[in-house]
Amino acid sequence: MNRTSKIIAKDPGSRSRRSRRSGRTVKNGRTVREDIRLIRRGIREFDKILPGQMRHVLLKSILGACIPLTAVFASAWILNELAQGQRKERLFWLCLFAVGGTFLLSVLKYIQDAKAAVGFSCLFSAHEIFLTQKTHRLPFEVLEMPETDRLREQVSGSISVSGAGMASLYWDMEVVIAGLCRTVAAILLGAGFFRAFFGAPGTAAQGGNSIRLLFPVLCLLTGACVYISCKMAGKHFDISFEVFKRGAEYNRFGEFYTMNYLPDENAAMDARIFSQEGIILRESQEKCYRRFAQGKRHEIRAGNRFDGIRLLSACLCGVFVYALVGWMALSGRIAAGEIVAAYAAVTMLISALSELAQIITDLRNNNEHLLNFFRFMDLPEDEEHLERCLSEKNSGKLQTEEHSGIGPAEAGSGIRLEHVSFRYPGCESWALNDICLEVRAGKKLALVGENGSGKTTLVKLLCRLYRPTQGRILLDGADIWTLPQEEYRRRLAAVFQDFSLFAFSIAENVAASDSYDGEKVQRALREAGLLAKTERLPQGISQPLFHHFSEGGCDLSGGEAQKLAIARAVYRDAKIMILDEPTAALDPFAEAEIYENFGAMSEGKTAFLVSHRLSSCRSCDRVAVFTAGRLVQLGSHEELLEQAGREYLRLWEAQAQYYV
Amino acid sequence: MKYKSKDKSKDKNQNKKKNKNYPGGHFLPSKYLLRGFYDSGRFNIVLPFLICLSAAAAGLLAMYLPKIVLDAVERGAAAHRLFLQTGAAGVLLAGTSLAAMVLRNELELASQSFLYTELTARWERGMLRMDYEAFVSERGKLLAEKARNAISNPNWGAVKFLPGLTAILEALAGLLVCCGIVGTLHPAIVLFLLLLFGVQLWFSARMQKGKQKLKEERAAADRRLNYLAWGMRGRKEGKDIRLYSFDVLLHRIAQRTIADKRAVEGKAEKLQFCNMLFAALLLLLRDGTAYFYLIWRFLHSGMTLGDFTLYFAAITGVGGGLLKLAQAVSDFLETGRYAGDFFEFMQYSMGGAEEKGESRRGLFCSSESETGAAVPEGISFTFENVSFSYYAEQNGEKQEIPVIRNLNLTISAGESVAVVGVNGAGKSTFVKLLCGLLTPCEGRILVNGRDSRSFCREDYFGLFSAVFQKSGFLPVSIAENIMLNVKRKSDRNRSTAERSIAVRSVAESSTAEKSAVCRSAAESSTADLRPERQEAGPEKSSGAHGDKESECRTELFSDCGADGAHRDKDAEVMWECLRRAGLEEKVKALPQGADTCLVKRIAQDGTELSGGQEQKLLLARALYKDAPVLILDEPTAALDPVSEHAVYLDYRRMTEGKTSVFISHRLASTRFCDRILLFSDGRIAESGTHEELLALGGQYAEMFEVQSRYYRDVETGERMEDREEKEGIKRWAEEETGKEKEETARNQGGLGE
Repeated sequence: MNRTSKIIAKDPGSRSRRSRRSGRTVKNGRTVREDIRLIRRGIREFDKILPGQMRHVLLKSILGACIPLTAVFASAWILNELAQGQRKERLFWLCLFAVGGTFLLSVLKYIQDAKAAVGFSCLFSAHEIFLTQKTHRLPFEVLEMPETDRLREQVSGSISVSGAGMASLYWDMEVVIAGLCRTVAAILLGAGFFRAFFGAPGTAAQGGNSIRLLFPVLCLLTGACVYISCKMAGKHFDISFEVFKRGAEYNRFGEFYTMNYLPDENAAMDARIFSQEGIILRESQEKCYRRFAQGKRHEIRAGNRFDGIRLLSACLCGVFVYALVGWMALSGRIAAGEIVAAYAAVTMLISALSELAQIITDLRNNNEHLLNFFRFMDLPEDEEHLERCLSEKNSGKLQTEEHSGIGPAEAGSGIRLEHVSFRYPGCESWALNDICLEVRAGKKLALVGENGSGKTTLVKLLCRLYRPTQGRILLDGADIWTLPQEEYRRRLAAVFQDFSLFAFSIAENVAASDSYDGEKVQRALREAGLLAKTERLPQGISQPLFHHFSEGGCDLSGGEAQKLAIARAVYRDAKIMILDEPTAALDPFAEAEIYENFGAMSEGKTAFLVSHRLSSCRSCDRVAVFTAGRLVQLGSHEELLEQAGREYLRLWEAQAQYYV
Repeated sequence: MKYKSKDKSKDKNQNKKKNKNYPGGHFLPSKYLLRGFYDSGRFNIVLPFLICLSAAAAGLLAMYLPKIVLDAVERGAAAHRLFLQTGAAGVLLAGTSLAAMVLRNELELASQSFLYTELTARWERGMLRMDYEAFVSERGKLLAEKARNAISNPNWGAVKFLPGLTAILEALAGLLVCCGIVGTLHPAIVLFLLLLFGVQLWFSARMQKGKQKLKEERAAADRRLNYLAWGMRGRKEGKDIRLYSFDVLLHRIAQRTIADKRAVEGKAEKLQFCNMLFAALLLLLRDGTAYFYLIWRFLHSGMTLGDFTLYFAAITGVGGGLLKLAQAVSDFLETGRYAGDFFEFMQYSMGGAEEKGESRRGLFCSSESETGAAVPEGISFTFENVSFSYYAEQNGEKQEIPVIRNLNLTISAGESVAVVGVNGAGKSTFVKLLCGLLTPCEGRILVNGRDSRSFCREDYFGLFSAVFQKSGFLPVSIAENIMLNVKRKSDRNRSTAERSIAVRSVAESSTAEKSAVCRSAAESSTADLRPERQEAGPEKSSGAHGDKESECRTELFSDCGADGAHRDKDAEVMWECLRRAGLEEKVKALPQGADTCLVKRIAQDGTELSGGQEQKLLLARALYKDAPVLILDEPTAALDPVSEHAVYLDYRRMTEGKTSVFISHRLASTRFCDRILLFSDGRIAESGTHEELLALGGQYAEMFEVQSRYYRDVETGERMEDREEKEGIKRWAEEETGKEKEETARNQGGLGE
């Protein structure tokens, strides 16, 4: 694994040097050995996505390759027997072998088919879930980078759009195995025919030399045919791949419209009122579909050319073989029965070898997709996540830990920010600049400021989602980044403006676990003001939400969803509570209710509240005012109002004038 | 197309659903697709037959080739004759297979082009044109999704319609050839083979039935798995997943779900295995019989070796051909289902217009309504006994959920109205009714005295400019996002004329390709005056298409040279709108200014705006459209107090000479409006100016009190007051959740307008 990741790392730089060294074997800037290494890693990763699947595929393709072979072998033998011996008993057994062998092999293959099909039915979803699980393990700042998102979409796109990447690896392996089997079989099948060239001395007496000379011709022709096949197939694949690669780019646009924008209820209102039809049709056609069509045209026309040459060369080679074999049979060098077998052997050899060559081209091209996959899998991870997942296997553990974990944090001095600065990766300006702030345990702080002044960033820093670029955040005197992540997060309950609910049961949403404490869930719901609603539901707290996952789920209004998110924070029973604009979309009553509950819920807890509604600041002990990443004012609401000409007063007056 | 009474269209669609199983169920969709395919290239329709011919010939030759050689050997023919015969047969074989391959590729190309240039556009148009109410209905969503699925992949679905049909023909032709050969041996063998095949079909139909039973179970498993796989990507949910360690739960649920799916698929595969096993048994029987029969004939009635191979190949050919045929038919039925899905959606989205062959002409606006297109300056609305209900399905029963009840209201021209109320009071539905996105179940809405249903949809939507909640942007430049294809007032008359020309010429244009290109050109240019496109045109659209397109343009609108001049004016207006929305500086600071694309995850060089900035941009877009009616649905929810204040200050100017409706939870905003409507439980509970409503002391006053108390400096006795208020809210909330009818009844009495 390490070695492959090194390859990935140095891939672009070393390309030119390597290609100069050995021009022919390098493809897409990789040598054969590197490609093989990537494929091997791909197979290992595939085994993680669908354990055991590759084995079924192996067996299936070996069996699949053997089935037509028995038939070909048997019919060749039968013909031979008919032409020469005509022993009835022998014919009987040969027939039995032909049909019985096929039958047995088929049954074996169908068993593997069934197993493989079961696995395959999950492949695409399992692949997506595998990727999503990886995103769960990413550090938050990596998750938020647009590059990550794009990489993820590329990886997803390559499998879902044209079955490249892992799916291609899967299919290709099947073909590789089959191709190998067929090559071996072709040589076995043609053994009699090939021997005829150098045949027994007795027959060689009749002009044996000219026959011997024909053998190299046959070999040359077969070789040429295979070579043309490979070359043409390779070219065709390269073009398809090129077209595909560009297609993934266009597909983003197409998918945006078909999957996101057009089916969206809210977007549909805009689309109608603003008559966006023209622009949407134009954009999707121009940026996606027309290019798809052009790419396809290019690909198919190229296919006509390359496949045409391939087909012609194979046909002509076959005719030559027939003529040759026929002539050899005429002159008695081989038995009549060998004619069919010889022809079958040569054509099979050609097709198997060119198939192999094609599939190798495809596999090597596919490595581009695999590389994306590996790049995504190689993104850094939260180290502790792994350990936790491992310990999670025995599920009871979490609960006990959760209870015991709260203990030691209680007696403390609160949260202190020491010269905290933060800059988003790739950004010049500071999102937060030299913030010093202390919030004593049990006190409440309101964070206000204009859009983009750094409030939400600060919240993310507090949640340990970002690491401060400079300075540090202390909890009870200890840098939060030195605490075990789980432990720190367990002391923290946050409700974000853009919280997410999952289509699982209400209780699972509240407890973030399937082994929850029912009473505690109910308590949390009561505190958040949602118990009345849940009690009216037929399944109570185990009622699923929405309709995506389970049937008969319930829908929530904006206010109810917000309350559910708050209940989640309450359930956690943490000492630090963070609310980031929890009421932007709520009506005054719901808003008032939530702030009201906020008072009760955060009683005795350290709390941070971000809000544009300055009215909520009055319920906090202190208010921190941010402008452009700096902390400009700090004090109680009343104190700040007295500071004439400052930011807080400006904000307050802008809003309060309408209510006085 | 005019507004249809939706009850009718609903009935119609229900009928259709019932009729889906009638024998001709595949016929209409097939006709629809074939027709479209034919229009997209006449030669295409010949391809299947050519493919059939060449493939059958190639098959025949491939079977005869070994016979030729074997016969020659057996006869002991001269070498040169052998070479000549094999050579001739071989060349013919090569030629026919080459032809078959190329033709197949061409067919594939033609159907994929059809998919990309036609079907996708049809679907998109359907999505954009279908009645909004149909769009949001469960059925509409389902149909749309099924139709999307039907055209989502170039390798399966509706795109395989013609290739599928060809496969059937091909299989039939191959079968005929083989049957012919076998028939010369003994006709009974053909019957025997057919019989075997019949048995196999019977068995696999039984298995299929078993699989059908699993359908529900499978769908449920798929839905769960799809939700986990595609419903959440881990990014949007990132914060919650991290902070609350949801990953563990998700992991466990995922494992469980995959196991469920495997179990279901396992059952299906078991059936499939039985099916295959049976087929293998029959194959055993067939090949065994064939071998024994042929060997017997060979030994007793002097058959040549060549005949032996030929007949054996033909017998397997018949079996294989039958299987191929069965496969092709079942594939085609599958494809037909996709075609049906697509067709059904198109029907649904057009409200049945396509059936009458109006799809071309009656695109969006009927010609008669264009006469009424002159837009008056002031727009007034009258709601007469308007009611609206949603239908929700619960436990298999349709439940009617009334949202707007018997609403009577007049909004006079130029009036600015604020709409307030708790969540779920019917505010958004009211706005949607007003915009014509929804049509009343009962009663009617009059616009300047004319029934809203008599308007053509596009004209009606043209009356409105809006900022809705949760709007998104397109991955195009900021300028295009603002200007879109909206006609400003001054341009409106001109472009109506353009549209009629465009539509007519589309209908008339003869060659399919041209019509496709023209249509898209017509669409983009009628729809808009995006002159920058004209300039960027040649570079943007590649090669031939670009040329044709511009040709089309000049043909259609020879007098649109004025567009260049419009460009500057439009840009000026756009910047003005940006400035008023408070976004000018931000946009100017971007590296590419207003040409910067939005939606970064799609347009790579794009930018991402914050929530507040997005809302400002939406406002700018609404201002740019400059329609006679302005609707603002919570336009300031994500804005900071200062920006919010700025919007309020500009509000008078924004609504000058316009009819406007402002929805807000911030009661502060309502003061700028001439009248405030308080919605409660689908009715207007209170109505009047801010002062009047405060004096009334009803729900509005209470709401204002709740919101404003913290802003007022009542220092003394605040605690006490607070307590009381808290209790008041709690009591109120309980009442609300308990759906107390009393209050609303009282309100209804007080409404009396």
